[in-house]
Amino acid sequence: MRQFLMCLVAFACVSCSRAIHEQLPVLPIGADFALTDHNGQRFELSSLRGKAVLIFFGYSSCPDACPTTLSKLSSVYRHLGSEAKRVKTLYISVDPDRDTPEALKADLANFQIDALGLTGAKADIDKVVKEYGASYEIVPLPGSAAKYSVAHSTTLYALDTAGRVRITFPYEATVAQIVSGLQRILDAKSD
Amino acid sequence: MHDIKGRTWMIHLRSAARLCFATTILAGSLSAQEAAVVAQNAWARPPAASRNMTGMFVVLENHSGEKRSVVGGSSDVAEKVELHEMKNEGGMMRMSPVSRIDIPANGKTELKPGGLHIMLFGLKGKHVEGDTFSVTLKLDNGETVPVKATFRQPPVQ
Repeated sequence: MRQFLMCLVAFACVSCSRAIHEQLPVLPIGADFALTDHNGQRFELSSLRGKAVLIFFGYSSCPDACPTTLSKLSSVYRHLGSEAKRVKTLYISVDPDRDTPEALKADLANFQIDALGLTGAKADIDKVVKEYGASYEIVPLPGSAAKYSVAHSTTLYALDTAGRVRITFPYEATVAQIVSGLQRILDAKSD
Repeated sequence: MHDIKGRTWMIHLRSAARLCFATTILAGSLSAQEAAVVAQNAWARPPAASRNMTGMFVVLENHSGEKRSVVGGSSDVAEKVELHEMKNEGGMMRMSPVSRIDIPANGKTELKPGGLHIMLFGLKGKHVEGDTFSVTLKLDNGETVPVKATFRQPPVQ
């Protein structure tokens, strides 16, 4: 009897959990795109169907926000355990003048994360930025050795296995919140 | 008789010299302990191979009764040291140089990710996790603050 009750509770939890998964909205942003990856190869978002995808915009000279995000995502991958192989991160540069594929590759080498650095022509990057509702601004810094900085939005976009944006995380999102969101995406039935 | 007097004088002289030496050492250590601003827990992310810059974070404690400000600095590993601030304005991260970093009287200022930091530009050599380096911060009253820092990744929440 006790075992039956436990099974009933477990079933109720799974059903409830599925209901929550189905409630994840498809956000009206994002689209497929093609850019150049950090190996110098053409990359198409559509090639990642079947994987959950995390996208954020940044630049390799970013002194603080981007390394912080990459550190956080390294931790996310550790927490995902065996599910980590079902998640790919895309780090899209908003500083294509300085961010060559080699620079992005070297930048990512410091982090334990399954990520591709993406760069390309400014017009192509701007199109992706616009489609995802992101933004950036080149800020000249006369007198500083940095020459200029790139103010940029820091939203992290989580795409489901069909390439649709399902969750956006603010910069302050914790590792636990991102892991939980990804698990909801990975557990959801593809519809 | 003269001999005894001379020996006594010699003993007095030696004692005085020892006292002077001890006083000098004590004064030196006291002045080091009583430096107005002290740097604690300084660290910087190891730069990627493609980068020659990094941001340094540190806690600056002011043990004096007067507000002090950091107005510049230099380092043995960087060509240029600048004071910068990162601000999150409505989800947009903006980095800009600042002319000074204030440390309140008998208080502290924490330089940490997402806020004030020390930028090191033109890094010399290769730096990996665990390497240490020195920075000297310049205060508004002309004093300097020695900083010993380590290259490491920050803890993640």
